[in-house]
Amino acid sequence: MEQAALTADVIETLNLPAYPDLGDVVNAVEEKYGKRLVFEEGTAASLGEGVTGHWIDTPSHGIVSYLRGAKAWSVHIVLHELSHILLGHKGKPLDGLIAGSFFSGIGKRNGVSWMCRAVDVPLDEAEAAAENLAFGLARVLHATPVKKATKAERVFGL
Amino acid sequence: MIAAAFWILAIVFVFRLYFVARWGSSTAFVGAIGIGVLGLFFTGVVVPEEAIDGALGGINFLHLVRNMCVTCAVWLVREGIFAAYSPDESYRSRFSHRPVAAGLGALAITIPFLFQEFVPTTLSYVPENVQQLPVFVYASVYMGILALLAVSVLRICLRPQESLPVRVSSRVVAFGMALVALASVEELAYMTAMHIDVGGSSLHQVLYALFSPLFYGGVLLTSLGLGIPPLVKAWRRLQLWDRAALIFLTATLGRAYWGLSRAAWLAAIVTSFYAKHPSARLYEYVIRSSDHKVALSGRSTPILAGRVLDAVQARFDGGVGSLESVLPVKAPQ
Repeated sequence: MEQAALTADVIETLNLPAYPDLGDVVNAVEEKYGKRLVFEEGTAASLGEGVTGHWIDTPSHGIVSYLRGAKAWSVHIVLHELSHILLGHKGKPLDGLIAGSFFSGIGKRNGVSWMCRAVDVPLDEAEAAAENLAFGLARVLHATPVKKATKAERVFGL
Repeated sequence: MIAAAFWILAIVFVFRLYFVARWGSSTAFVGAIGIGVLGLFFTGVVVPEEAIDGALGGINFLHLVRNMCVTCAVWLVREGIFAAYSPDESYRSRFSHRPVAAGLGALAITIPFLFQEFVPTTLSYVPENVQQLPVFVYASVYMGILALLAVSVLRICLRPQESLPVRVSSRVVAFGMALVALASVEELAYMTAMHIDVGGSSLHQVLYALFSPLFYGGVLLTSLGLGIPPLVKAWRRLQLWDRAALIFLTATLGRAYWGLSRAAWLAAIVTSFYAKHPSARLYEYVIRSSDHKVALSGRSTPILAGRVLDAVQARFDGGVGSLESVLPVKAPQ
């Protein structure tokens, strides 16, 4: 499916309220995911070189880590990780993107899988789809209600 | 000044017509502006007055036609502003807003004009003919009606208004109408002095010379004031700030951020001019900027581009609360 159409379809299934905030988006994703999500601010050391965020799927909940930075950017990283969840990208480690120390304390054998947002490599199909959906979610999140024109404004031609 | 007023009003008229056709904007001031353009056209800014008056019989009927256009335009501006500022339509029941009042005003101006001894076309019609009682009455009634209409517009334009563009537009129109009212009173004084022959020629010359700057200055300001709403509308609809920022960021950062070839970069600049959603593309720059700071290049951003990015970033940051306040934080282990 074309990415734009996929993005539109996924956003539609979220049944978000008009002009949602980030909490609304998280709640909608949790509903789809079927588990609660927890978030933590990461550092370059904890996330890995060139990685801005990741999502770890555990049997009981999901953990989304994002790198500290400008607020809109950190929100975008969160949206990217939420997009992986929404697109069903569970359990696919991105070979070559993850440093040796990355997730060293978790391990796949415990049933944990992850996705991350790396910025220093060309995006593969899954990453591109997640990034595209993240931009779509950002458009919804940053949309502002159109202010209704007053009578005076209408008459003046505004 | 007359030419400036004519061209500004003509441009405002074209834009307003376009907005009515394209975006279904209000037609409230279109008639007023159109007739105002016609009135200013009759001052000879494009076609000499002699030629136009010649086509009307060569006996100064142009003077009457022009003055009727101006009166009609100010009347319609007044109606438009009352419609904008009034909570309901009750003002229309007042006599001064009824079409019959406009008709009576037009008759009061026209009838004395018709009783004069007509003379061939002259560019100094009033100074040369104000000794004639019908001309004096005609011009005085015209100026009196215009002064009353201008004061009426001035008063309503000064009422409180919550919308900033409407308020600014109204205040500029009010200033213009104040000048028109002042010019009208000053012209009444001039014509009276000339008609009853009081005051010296120097006083007459001063009074005569004052009229045009006051009157056409007022018309110019009114034209500018009525031009503000279409400008604001165009600014908003075309998202001109976003578009300008996008073009600038694409020109300054496009190649560094997206690794574009020279041809692709030039194409991106061109497409920035007519991007359907410039704010969405600005958002991409905001995200890419932080990506670069964190992991990609580490290269410094040019100062001006950085400032534009900061301004754009502030808008996207402002729309959401603190991350920690809206996201459930992982419990300490």
